[in-house]
Amino acid sequence: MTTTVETKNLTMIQGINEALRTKLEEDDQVLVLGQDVGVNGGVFRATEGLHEQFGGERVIDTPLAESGIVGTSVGMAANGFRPVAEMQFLGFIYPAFNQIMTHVSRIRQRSMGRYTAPMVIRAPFGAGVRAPEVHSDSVEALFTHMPGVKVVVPSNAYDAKGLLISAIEDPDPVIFLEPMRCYRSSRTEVPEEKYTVKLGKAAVRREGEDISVFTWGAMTIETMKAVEQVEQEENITCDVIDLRTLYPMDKEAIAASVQKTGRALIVHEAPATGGVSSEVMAVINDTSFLYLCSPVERVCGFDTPVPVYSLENEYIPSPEKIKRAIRRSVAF
Amino acid sequence: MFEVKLHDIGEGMHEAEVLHYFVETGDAVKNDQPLVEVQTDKMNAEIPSPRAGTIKELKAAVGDVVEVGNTILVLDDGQEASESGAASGSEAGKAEPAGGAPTAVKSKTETAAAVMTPPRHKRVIAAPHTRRIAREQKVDIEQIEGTGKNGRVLDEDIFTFARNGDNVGKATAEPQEEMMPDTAALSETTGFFTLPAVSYRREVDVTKVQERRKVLQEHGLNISVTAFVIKALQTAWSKSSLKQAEECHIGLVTETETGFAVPVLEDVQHISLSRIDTGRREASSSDTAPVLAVTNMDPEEDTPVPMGCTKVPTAVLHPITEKAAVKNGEVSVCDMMEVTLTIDTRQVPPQAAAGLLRETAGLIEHPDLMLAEMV
Repeated sequence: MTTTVETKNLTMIQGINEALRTKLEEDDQVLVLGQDVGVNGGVFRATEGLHEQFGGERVIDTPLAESGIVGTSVGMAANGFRPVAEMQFLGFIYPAFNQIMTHVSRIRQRSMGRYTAPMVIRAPFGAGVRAPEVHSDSVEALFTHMPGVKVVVPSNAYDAKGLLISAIEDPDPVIFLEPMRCYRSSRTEVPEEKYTVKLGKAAVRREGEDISVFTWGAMTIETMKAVEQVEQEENITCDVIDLRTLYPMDKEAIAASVQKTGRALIVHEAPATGGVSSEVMAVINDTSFLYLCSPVERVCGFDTPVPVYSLENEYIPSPEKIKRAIRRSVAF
Repeated sequence: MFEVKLHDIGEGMHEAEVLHYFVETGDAVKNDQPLVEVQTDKMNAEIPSPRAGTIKELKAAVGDVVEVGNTILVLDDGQEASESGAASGSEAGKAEPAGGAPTAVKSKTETAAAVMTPPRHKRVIAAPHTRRIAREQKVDIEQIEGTGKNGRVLDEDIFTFARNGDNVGKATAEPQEEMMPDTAALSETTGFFTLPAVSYRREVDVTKVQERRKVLQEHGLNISVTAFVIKALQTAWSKSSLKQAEECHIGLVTETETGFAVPVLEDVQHISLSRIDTGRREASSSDTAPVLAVTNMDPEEDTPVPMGCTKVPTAVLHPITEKAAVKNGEVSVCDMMEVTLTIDTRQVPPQAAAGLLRETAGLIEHPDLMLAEMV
């Protein structure tokens, strides 16, 4: 007997839509709320069709007030709902920062476990889509530094659907960051039925011997381009690890890869200083110091706000920059 | 000549008024003798002489305001060249309390320190990965000439060195025959905490043994007290309930330069007094007698028996001293030796051990009794 899994070839935004639909169908405590998520279907169409299917009481259009969206969500979450809040852009989350830092992240601790906040905050993020100021920020590090919330970044449709379902089912708050550039840049075979991708587990995207490249989100696109080129041109083979969850970080996967290759590079588009790359370096230092053949390299954005879109390509780590770092490390 | 300057006397003051001198030109002064009293905005302070000498010249007059670092007076200390004493603010250090000539003293200590600093270890350039390989290969990375960029030690350098330097490595890594002190110490410490040890102590009068030894010496036989004790122990043991078999092997705990060693005297029941000594000397080259352990020890077993904590009863003989002993109601001076017998109560019944020590002591105190046991 063979079992066939029905799959569909989906973009990441469709995978997210499927995850939301799956959970809305399965669990009537799940709610979706945010600005224009209802009738309009979401600024990136993530919630398209959900309002028609589930109605305005479960797919809720909110006023333009991020603080209110998150504040309402944490109150509902503490009282048994599983709200999925959408920020139109991660760069708009700052008014809600206070709610997240002072309530979402610590209601479990404050109430000594009596209340939890099983909620998800979804937010598109990252540069490279020619968006205006603030829309392109990559501020994942603001949330990895916030004990009490998990931080998840999918890079394709399969992971997006599985990770979002896991996030909604997680008993604690999850910040779900969706790289805008990945929304429609590729399609993946995605099972039609429900499945989950475990939070806190990295994925090996490519296996190699010479260097480990750690990345997530949209930078997996640039990284895959770069490693394919160095392999073809210079016969340097790379492990590419998509961390997928930035907190809690998959330390075992990081250690295993670095101990295999002896070299490491971290690629993210957020500014280097205080970025999540520093944490990856710390993990490497803690677990694999004596395996290092060369200093850990990183290719990141500059320590500036994301510039206007005409300069975006200079800001974002390019395959060229990634290749240079790989060569530097291997030739050290 | 030595110039006494106003040093930084703290509190952020940068100048002081000369209130009065305790000395005049031509006065001989000792080291630390007060020279002058100055006044700052915050305090009055006496400036002591940084060294012995004669006052040559008072540069500042009473009432003058002198800035930190300027000369107050000149001292003839018998040295030709003019040395600058005391210090400007930065040299003396803000925390330097009043007194002394910090600059001169400081430079001297610095020189001494520089001379005394041991040579630094060679700074090796190598990646952590390479260092790990060196550790695994038990290679001292500092001995390796790196062939990489800027002399960096590469993985291959370690492997080459490990291959070629085989002999060098072996010379130091050769396992020692005797137990190394740290291992011995560890085993002793572990024993101390894990073995249920009991010790019996007894003073034994060896006066008669000494007398017999003298007689034997007159016949050219030099037999040690230790030999008598070993023979006595064996004799007592052979008659005791502790005896499991005829063979009485006795281990001799010997302290060597590298730790404990336990050579074993086999079949003591067949060995005469004189041969015990020969065997004992052959067994242990270094004759450090007072730490001596004894009894039915398997000669195959080369585990050292740390003094005081052992699986076999261990007799520890202490140095012989003259002591006042009471015999038949009279006090006399005797050669006394303390014997401590330590046992592991899991191996030996304490009563039997006490009996063994008692019997042994009896034989030592009356060595003639051993005649009856002669083989």
